[in-house]
Parts: sequence; structure tokens; C-alpha cells
Amino acid sequence: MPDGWNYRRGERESPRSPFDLIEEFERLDADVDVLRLYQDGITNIIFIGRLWPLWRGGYDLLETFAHYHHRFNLRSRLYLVLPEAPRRSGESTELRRAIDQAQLTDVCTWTVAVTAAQLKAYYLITHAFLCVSQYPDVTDYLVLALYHRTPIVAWATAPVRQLLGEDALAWDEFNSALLAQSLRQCVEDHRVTEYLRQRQQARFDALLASVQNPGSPERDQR
Amino acid sequence: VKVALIVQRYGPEVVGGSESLARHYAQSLARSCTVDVLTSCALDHVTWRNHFAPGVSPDGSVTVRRFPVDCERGAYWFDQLGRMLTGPTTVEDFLRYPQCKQAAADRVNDWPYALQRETVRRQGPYSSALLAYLREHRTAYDAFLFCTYLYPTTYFGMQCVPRERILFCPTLHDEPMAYLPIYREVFQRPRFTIFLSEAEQALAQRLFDMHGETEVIGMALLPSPPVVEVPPQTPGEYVLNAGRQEPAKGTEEMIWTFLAFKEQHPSELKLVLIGKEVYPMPRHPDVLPLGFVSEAEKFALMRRARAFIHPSAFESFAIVLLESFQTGTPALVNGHCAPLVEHCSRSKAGFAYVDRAEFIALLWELTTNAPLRDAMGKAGQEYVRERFSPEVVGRKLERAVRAVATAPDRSHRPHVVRPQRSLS
Repeated sequence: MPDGWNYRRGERESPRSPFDLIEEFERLDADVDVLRLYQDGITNIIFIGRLWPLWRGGYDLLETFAHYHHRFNLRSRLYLVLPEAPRRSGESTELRRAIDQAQLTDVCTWTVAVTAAQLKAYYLITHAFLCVSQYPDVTDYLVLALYHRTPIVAWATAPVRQLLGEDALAWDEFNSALLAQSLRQCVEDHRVTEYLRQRQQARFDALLASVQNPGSPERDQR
Repeated sequence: VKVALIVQRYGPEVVGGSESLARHYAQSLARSCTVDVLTSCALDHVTWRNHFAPGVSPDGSVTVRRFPVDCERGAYWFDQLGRMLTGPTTVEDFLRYPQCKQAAADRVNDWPYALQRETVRRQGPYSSALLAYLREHRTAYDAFLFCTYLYPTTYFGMQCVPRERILFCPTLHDEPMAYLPIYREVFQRPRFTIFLSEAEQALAQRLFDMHGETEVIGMALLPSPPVVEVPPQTPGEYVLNAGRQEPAKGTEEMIWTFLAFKEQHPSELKLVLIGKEVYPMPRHPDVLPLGFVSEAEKFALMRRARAFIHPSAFESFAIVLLESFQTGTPALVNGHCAPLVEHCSRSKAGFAYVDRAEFIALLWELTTNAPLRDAMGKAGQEYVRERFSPEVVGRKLERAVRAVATAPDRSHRPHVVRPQRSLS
């Protein structure tokens, strides 16, 4: 999680559960610069998690968003919030080149080393969380998305499926067109948004109960 | 029947319309039910700073349970979230122009749910202890009466209890906050919703696709206290305003308009203000702020006033307006506030103005035409007697509580919030 990362070494200093951060979020004021900048009526899609060294996920993510942006919603943008700074000089260049190639130069921004206040602000301004990642630790950020009731559209790798179950628009196969269409559904169709929000709320509540009462029926169901 | 009444602040020291209503409902219900009031430790509605000690205390036959507020309201809400909500629109423009209302609705329509939730939560008073108590005691009460739609005590509190047991008194105003789509949940969840006026009910139907039963119940007015002398500094001829003095209540605009009236019609007439000066108001020899006065003095001042002025645009009931009717004093009210206009047009005991010129013309009529004033005064007294006697209101309120308390438990059914409707 952002505050637990040593950005110089690129590793976790002290493991923090997402529930620790949720407690902090409840007290914390969101970063006002982020809030002010992105309340302009444009649909904000977010990805938070690792992209390297398994860079393939980055291409998949950009391909999905490019599909959504160019076909369905030109008034949209993608934020990549990356907890790890690139360790090799070539990594950020590669990311920039991939963004340019997908013709997303003006609508895709990426940032590293965000503070908890900034991270909270990103969640607050987000209309959907797009998760295309092979890293299991992306589930920490998905828990935060569940807490914020942010609609999740995901490529369901095993840990993602285990976390979300059937309570998000999660697909077992990677298919950028399908994921883009799912994004469109959950952003444009208020019935879908509402349905997802209620399912995700129930999911989060069950998850929280299982953390607070290990051995409870909710935990066993998971 | 065991009732929990949930309200943002509570107590005789608390000044506020919806809080007075909540206390009145609690005491009225306590005659036939066991009533617990669940509230915060706050006294000040600006900061929600903890003032009262947490714990249990009595208020007559009502049990009050107070819970600490998690964090105070400060610059984060006032300068950021609140400003994002209202945008560049001023209160006057919002009230005057339908396009500004539409713009307010459009601005927040696509706000992510998380941002809306944060806005409600940080508006305060948010008390995690109160919510934990509600979750823990969700089956211990036959009915949960939530007062005021605006605050997290209601929005988050309703999610902690079975919706079949929810009774709701929204005290809804036509204000920018009401256009946050998140409030659809609040209006669609209750089993029974109590409105204070037909205008409030119509606004709720327009903004939210409501479920459940509704009824206009209002609030009972107690008989006027025994007649006492007015405070010694009271002038001979005056018009009166009572309540919190702050821009949101239209006090400042009223003062400037009254001074414009005095320029056109020089006389000995003064404007007397009673109540808390929340924000500093303009000073002038023709404007006399008397601060807090006793209930009996308030009624004495009302009785002797030439007219009562209610300049607020954000009211769902307006107790002080009806109290002035009760004393036989006619009123001049803000015509942008539908419930105030409703009281005046139904009672024929008041005039509504929408701009400065109308204010001046109508105030001139009220202060110079004694027969008209007397006729309007009598009409106002009759209106209050017929509609807002303790017996009439108490009966309706008790019926609403019993409808909820005896409703079959269907909490196993999933609750689906209907999608939003366009304003048009």
C-alpha cells in the first residue's frame, strides 16, 4: 500500500492490510488538488497496482481502455496509479511509448508514489476501476474499491476471482472488447451501476465480517 | 411499542427547526410508546464539536442516548466538498432560476458514488459509535424514526436497521444538497415517510422516485405561554424576525431590504431580531438585535409586532411562522420557499414576496392597513387551530408509528434502489 512502500527499494516496508488503510481513509481529508482537477464532467477510469516487470499486463490494460475510449466514450480518461516507481530507466519510456501507440497520449496519465490522501482522492473521483493485472497484490486495491463501492471491471485471475466472486463484472478470459463493453455498461447504465454497487457493498461487508470474526460463516463461505 | 428516534442533535438547548420537531415528536410519542432518542454529542451545527457527555440521560419520559462525533466539520467540507457541490451558483440564483437548479442537478448527477458518500459523511455529524449501536440493536426496536434527510445519522443509520421498521421525517428543502443522487436511497428505503407540508411532499416526489406510504402530518403547536411584558428595550412600532441569523436564512438580505423600505417610507418602524447571531449582521439604528429571549417573551414580541418577517428560502415547515399566526400577527415570507407560501396561501394570513419591490410594497400594506392586519391575524389563528393542534398531530403520528411497528418483516428481500429519473 502506498504508505507502506519504500519507493527507493521498491518493496513493502511493513505489511499493511487494506483494512488499515480504510481506517486511515475514514479520518483523512482527500487531497484537494486531485479532487479539484478531475471534477470536470469527464469519466474517470482508474487502475491501481503494479505493471512491471511483467509488462504484458500494461499493454492489455491500455488496449482495453483504448477500445473503450475510442469506441464508446471520448470524454473519458485513464489514471494509472502505480505504487512502484520504475526500477529500470527503460520501463517508464516503454509505458509512455505504449500510451502514445494506443493514441491515449492526452487522456492517460500515470503517477507513482502517491500519498494516502492522494490515493483516497483518486478513489473518490473514479467512475470505474479497470483491473487487468497478473499480480496477486492487486486485490488489496480491489478491496479499497469495494469499500468505496467503485464499480469494478476485471480480468479475473485466480486471486481476483477469489476476492470478487460473482459480485463484479469480472471475466475469466482476457478479452479487451468484452472488458471495454463492460466498462461502458457500468458507466452508462445506472441500473448496472446500482446493481454492482449493492453487490459490492454486500461483498465488502462479508469480507469485513470475515476479517473481524475469523471463523465466522461469512469466512467459511469465501 | 418501542421507538428509536434518530436525530443529528437533541436537547432543549439546541436551536434548530428539525431538532425542535424531533424533540416534539419524541415527547408526543412518549405518551404511548417507549422512546429512545439516539443522537450525537454535538450542540453546534457548524462544527459538530462534541459538547454533551456521551451516555444516557433523561428528557422527561424520553431516554436520550448520546454518541460522540468522529470528526468535526471544517475547511475540508466548507471550502472543498461543499464548494464543489454548489459550484459557481449563488443561493439567490439557485432559487430564482430553474436553469440553475438544473445545472446543480447536472453537476452532481455523475459524481461517483464514493464522492457523494464522502460529502454526506464529512458534512457530519458522523458517529461510528451511534451506527454500531444501531446495528447491535436493530431488532430491539419496533420502529426507527429518522429525522432530517441531510445528515449521516440518517443516511448511514438507515442502512443499519431493517427497512420495514423505518419511519422517516425528511424535513426536505429545495437546496443544492438535495440533488445528490445518493439521497434516492434515503427516500426509497423507508416504510413510511412523514411530511410537514404538501409542498415538501411534492418536492420529494419530483426529486425521488419514492416507495412506501407517505402522509403530511406537520407539527403540533402548543398553546401560547401566559402573557408577559416584552423586553424593556422593545420599540413602540416594529416588525419581527425570529431564528438563527445567518446568510442561509436570508437574514442579511432582509436587513438590507428593510433599510431600503425605510428610505422610501421614513417612520419610527424598527426591525427587531431575536435568536442567535450565527454570522455578524449589518448594524443600523433601525435594526435591533435582542439576542435570545424566553419563550414567553418571544410570544409577547410576536403579539405586539406589526408583522412577522420570514426571509428564509430553505424551510420545510417554519414553526416560528405558525407561532406568529397563533398570536394573531400576519406575516411576510420569502416567495421562493414553497412551504412558507403554502402556509400563507392556505391560511390567508400572510403575503409572499419574490423581490425587493414586492417586499417594500407588501410591508407597506401590512404596516399601514390595520383592518387588513386584523382580518389576516384572525385567519392565521384559525388555520393553526384547525391543522396543528397537539391532538390532531399526535393522532396522525401514532398511526404512522403503529403502521411501521406492525408491518410484516420482509427484511430478507433484497432492497433495490430504483435508477434516477430526469428532473424534467
